[in-house]
Amino acid sequence: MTQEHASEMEFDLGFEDFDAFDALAELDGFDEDEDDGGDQVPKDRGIGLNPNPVMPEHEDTRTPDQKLADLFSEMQPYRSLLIKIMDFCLEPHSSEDVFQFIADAQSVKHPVYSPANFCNFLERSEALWRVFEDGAPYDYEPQAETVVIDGVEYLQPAEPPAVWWLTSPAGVRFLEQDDPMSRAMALLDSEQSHADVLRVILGLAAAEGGTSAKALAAAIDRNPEFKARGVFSSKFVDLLHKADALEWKGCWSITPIGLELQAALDQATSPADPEN
Amino acid sequence: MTEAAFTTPADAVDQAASAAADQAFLNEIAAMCAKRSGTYSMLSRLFASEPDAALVEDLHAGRFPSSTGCPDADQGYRMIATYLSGRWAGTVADLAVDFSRTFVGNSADAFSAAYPMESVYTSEKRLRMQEARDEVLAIYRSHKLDKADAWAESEDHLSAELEFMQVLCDRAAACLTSGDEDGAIAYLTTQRNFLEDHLVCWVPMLCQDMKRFAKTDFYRGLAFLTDGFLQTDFEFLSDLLSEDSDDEASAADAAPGANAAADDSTAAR
Repeated sequence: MTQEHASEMEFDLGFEDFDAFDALAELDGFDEDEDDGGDQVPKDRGIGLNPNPVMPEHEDTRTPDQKLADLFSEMQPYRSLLIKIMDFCLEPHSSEDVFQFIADAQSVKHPVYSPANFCNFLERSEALWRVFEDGAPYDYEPQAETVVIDGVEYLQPAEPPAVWWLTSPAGVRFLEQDDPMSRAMALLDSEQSHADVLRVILGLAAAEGGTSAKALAAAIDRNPEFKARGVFSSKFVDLLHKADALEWKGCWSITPIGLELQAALDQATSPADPEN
Repeated sequence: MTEAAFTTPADAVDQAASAAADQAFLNEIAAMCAKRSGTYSMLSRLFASEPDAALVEDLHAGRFPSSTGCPDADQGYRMIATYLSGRWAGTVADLAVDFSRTFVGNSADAFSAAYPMESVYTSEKRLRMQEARDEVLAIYRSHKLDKADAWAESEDHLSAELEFMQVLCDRAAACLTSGDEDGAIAYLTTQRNFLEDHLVCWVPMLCQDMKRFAKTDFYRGLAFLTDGFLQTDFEFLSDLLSEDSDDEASAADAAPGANAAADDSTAAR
């Protein structure tokens, strides 16, 4: 094809040539009312198109044991607290007592979750049951009361009975099967190459008054030997915390599990003393 | 008909009784406007943000109408009162979660929540800050109202539109109690027009979506209540203002050549 200058081209634009052209030829059989699935609003989502929309409900088919396992998997930093709550509620306790217990156990200035949140998590995982004071299932059905004032009827929200909390059979099973020492030893097995780091951290946490993150950073992060290996204290503090070897009480303190882990480490090959 | 040159004592008594009846009627309408204002205020608050602990306690301590004559409003009140009858320490968190689920969604697309903005429901692509927002903003400003600095949402947010209706209720009530009937008619006409041109055009669709997304009976009940209340209020204002127009038309027919106030009573927007 040769390039022609536009001015040299002749255009014959007789309209009779277009008589045979059918702009809608490709659309024969097109039904305007039919949804071609293009850019139009989907019928099942467009507002006003489905007068009785129904959101499909997600059916949770997990067993209580599976729900509990998932909860502890998703909330590892709160594992020990959840265990303590379930242990506390082996006997029925009032909401006030449970919330106070949780508030005392959290020992953080600005907790992310309220005590009611934790009860809600455990209830949804079927680890805790709502019960009456006598331990009977809390089968209260909310019902507004009708009151008449000056001859006019009103609906008044009723005061629900007090909620008490009791650990469910699934929660009891979980407590019985929980073996924190095994998890701590599994950590030791998986972090054999960093046993010296664990030993230093546990040693500092075992001191009177515990240890601070700052002190751990000074001992680990700024230690030339550990620094050369790319070791950071925060990672191992997190691992020990999740293994229930450390707990936060305004500072990092060693737990009974941590003491046993420390003893196990002492029996292993003695690492280089970072203070020398 | 010319005015009589003299009036008899009986005429004076009749006129006084008529004036007293008129004022009693105005006071009754003023009381109804005050109640409407309270309902608009409550609805505005519930759509603005999730309830805090104080609001939950206030709602729990309060009373709700049992029979308003509107089935949707009655069902809404019943659902809310029943939900509050089961309140516990976690109710505030539960309602916060449901508020977010209902009105915020996961923002994956324009259909993942019941977004309480008029532009979303009246624009082709469900976008915010469209023509509806400009229209209502012009209406607010014509009544010497504007968005507060602390208000972070758009002017066509349902909470703002409901608060606008609350303000007009208060102004109408003030006019009625002070005997300014024309002023009250102007405000009530504005309310009717605002309902007709805005609120009842899109809020029913929002309420339909709320019933899809909300999990708690609190917000499902709020959907029933809002839909029913707005429909009822629109009917009430339409009836009230049509009666007023009929009265003025009758007076105009009876007194040709007298001031035709009916044409001037349509409030400017």
